[in-house]
Amino acid sequence: MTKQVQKLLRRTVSIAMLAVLLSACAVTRNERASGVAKDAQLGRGAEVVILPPDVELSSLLASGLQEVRADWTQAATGHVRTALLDALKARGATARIVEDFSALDDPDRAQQLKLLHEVVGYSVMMHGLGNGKLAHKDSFDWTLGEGARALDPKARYGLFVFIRDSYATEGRKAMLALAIVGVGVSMGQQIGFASLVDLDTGAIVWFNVLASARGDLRELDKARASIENLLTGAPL
Amino acid sequence: MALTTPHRTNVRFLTSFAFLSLLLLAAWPLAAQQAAVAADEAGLLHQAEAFEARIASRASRVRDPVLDSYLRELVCKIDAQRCTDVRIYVIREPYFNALMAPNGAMVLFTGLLLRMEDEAQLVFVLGHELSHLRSRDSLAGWRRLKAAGNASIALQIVGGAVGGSALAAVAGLGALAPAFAFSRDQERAADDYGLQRLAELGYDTHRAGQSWADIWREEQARERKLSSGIFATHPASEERAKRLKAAATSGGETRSEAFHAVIAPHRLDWLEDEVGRRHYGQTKVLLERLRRLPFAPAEIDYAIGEMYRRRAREGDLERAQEHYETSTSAPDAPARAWRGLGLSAARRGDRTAAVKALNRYLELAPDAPDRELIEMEFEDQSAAP
Repeated sequence: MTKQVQKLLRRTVSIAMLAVLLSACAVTRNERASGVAKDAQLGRGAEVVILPPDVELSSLLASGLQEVRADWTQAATGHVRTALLDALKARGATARIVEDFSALDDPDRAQQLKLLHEVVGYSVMMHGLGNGKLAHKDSFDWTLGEGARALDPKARYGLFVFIRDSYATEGRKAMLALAIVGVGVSMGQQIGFASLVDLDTGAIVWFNVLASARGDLRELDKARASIENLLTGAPL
Repeated sequence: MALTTPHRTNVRFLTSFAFLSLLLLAAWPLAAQQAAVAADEAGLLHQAEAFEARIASRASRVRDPVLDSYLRELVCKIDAQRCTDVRIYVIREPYFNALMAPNGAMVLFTGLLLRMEDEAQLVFVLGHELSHLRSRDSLAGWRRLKAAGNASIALQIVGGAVGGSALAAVAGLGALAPAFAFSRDQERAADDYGLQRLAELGYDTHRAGQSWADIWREEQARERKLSSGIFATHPASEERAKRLKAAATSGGETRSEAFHAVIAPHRLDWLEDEVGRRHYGQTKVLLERLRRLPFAPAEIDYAIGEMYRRRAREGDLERAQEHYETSTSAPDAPARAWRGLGLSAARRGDRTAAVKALNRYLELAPDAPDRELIEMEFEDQSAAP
């Protein structure tokens, strides 16, 4: 239990930090790897594989604790998949989606690479963009390393999507009253990042962070809007 | 953010809203439980599945079919009904810990297996973990935390209303306490189930209390400046050891041979992991205990030698040498004991003895991963007569 609580706190703190970093209604902030031109369309003619999107929706309780909602998460994951596939096709990319890694030679390695991407993504979010940017890091050269090929035997690029979304419960909404005593009360946040990884080199060629107090992944149309925001500036 | 713009809102509206919110919050924990019974459990299961996917793909997972089927048989013996719902993952980390996720994923750390003396002690631990699954303790714990969390907010508002912020802070803390006290109750209930199954299956029930008494001695030997990372979620306590000892009712089997036969291929690695923690005070207590058992004394002596060599305090090199010598004089000495003997001789400046022992090590372990390093370091000497 205590470990769960610690994890919860860590997550809350990092999300709160990001909210400070990007405090507005819907903000995205993207970056391309050094050497990728502004008008590059890497996806044209190249195969892009969409890795299993990591989406989790929670309800925000009055106390500020977040309770994961499996039903919302399941619906949202489906909407995100549909929206991503459509968005990539609209951009002329040859896209396909990976359901899970079981068809690969080394599914465990692929799963660990996905987790590595999550960690690297958090680092880029905190230290590669915006106010928390590392003072001496001039070039955008984040990478998963050469092992990234283990994610897919064929595709040139891998698209990763990670989204955490929370919605205030009625009890939480009542907490608006706390605003009187000067406490900022969050009513739920959509935080996510997406990155395009060159599977030959492992390099993150494009990365985008999305922070929004609006949006609702539980509905397909709104999920499409969120995904369009998330793909802002993608070299596809 | 969009919803927190108090200056533009009517102040009187907000004041009445504050009282309304107090009422709502007071009723919230109960209402939430009734309205979202299925939702919170489904959410926990979803998180447990994500956790399991992480654990299952870890490189530090021990994949040994013999160990797996041994553990599975024990789990099925303890709870035949749930045995097909449980998936067991052994993770190579030197922690004294086991976890039970609400979806049936059970995680055992090798530091726990290393500390078990026999099957009876292991069955108690497995029974304890299975009890958390049977009673859906994760769900109860989460509900408790939710209720406490919401109550704590409510109290902070009351505190704010009477104008005492210190009072509010204290009240807030107090409201959170039951969330943790409850988990102690769950732990006791789990212990009771573990003991009950131990007795019913004909094991010696005294073994459970013995293992906790040993863990407690280890905990007391902790060097103050080092945190007790390995005991994080199952804190060792004298109270627990005494309680278990007092509750022991019957003698019976320990099945220590069966247990040690299964862990034998891994023991040396796990011993090295333990020494690698660099909590030498605790490690010494543990290794001296294991040395008294009739299992693999040469391996334990090697590990004690490693502990002293790495700690390297006054007199430690001599102690290390002594244990390496005891180890290498046994017929089943691990090859690595010769390496230890050689490295400690080198540290004392006895190059001849070092080269002799290291050559023996490389002879016994032709595929040693550190061969090149050793050959580079001692090349001159091995060429010399």
